Amino acid sequence: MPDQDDDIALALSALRPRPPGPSVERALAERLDAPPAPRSNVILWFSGLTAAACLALAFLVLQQGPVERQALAAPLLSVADEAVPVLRVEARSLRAKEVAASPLAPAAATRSAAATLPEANYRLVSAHASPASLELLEPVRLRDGTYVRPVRLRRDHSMQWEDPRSKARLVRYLPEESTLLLPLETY
Amino acid sequence: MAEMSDAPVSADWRAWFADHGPRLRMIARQWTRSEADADDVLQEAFIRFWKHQRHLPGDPNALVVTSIRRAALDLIRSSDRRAVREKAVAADTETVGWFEPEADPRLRALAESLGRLPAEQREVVALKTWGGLTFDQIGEQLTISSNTAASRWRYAMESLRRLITARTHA
Repeated sequence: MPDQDDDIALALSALRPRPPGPSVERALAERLDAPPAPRSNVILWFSGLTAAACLALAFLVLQQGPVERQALAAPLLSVADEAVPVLRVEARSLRAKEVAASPLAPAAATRSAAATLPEANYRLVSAHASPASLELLEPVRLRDGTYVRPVRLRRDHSMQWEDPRSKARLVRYLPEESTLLLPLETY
Repeated sequence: MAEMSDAPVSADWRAWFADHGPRLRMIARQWTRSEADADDVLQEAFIRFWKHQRHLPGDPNALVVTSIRRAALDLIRSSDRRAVREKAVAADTETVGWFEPEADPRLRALAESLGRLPAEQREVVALKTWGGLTFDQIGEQLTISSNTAASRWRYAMESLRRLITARTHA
């Protein structure tokens, strides 16, 4: 009976709920018209400091990124000497240690090129990380009803190794993007 | 019913509250045991919404209803009344007092009949009629499926029709 239900729904919307008591508006005026209370300042400061701490942490993590990747690169490229920046690349072991699932998978083409060399001593000649760009995105609501503000961080890493004998160069370029969620205080 | 889409940009809480306060209080009344509790819940929820949530993305209607429900649940918990919750809330309500007096006998009968509905049906009626929520949004609020919300609405409409007919023919 959709039409008849519409009649009831229409009649319901014609009912006029009573307004809140006058004490409600007085209480609202006291709290909404008043200047920010010290507690609000504390919450603002706390939120700001939390956000700053998150960003600082993210920056530190990103700063450590290239070092970790260098450490990762060593076993994957079969480095004989542990001393950085000299890398000894054994071409045969490159094929054996194909690491499709590793973070270095995008460099497979470079490794294939290096694999054609019989043996080479590569020295790290440059390592560069671009400044991180931060993008504050619109707040989003999570399933539990809380809100977070996503922050997208982007930066690029580039490293070059050179074999002084043949002047052959290995260039690795790693774009990096990560997203952090900063909790928003809404209560 | 006034639309709530102007909430995020409006800076005048008094005008906004004057437009929407009555129906928000009607929603608060669904989850509280007394008029005074409904006023308290509405006050807390509105302050929370206005200070912290009105600029958030999403439907402001759903946001303010969520705020009301949380404030009502907080009050129930703080009063150690968890065990009696919504069903008991509904048991002792005189719904005719929730509305302004009506001259039309059919509207009076409707206002009285609301109190005869089971609480879970009446809260769906309130959220849809005065909250302006869709069945999907009602489902999210009450943690039920939208189909269940729609079913409760249909049962409520049938019950109200039956009750009004009985009252007007009595």
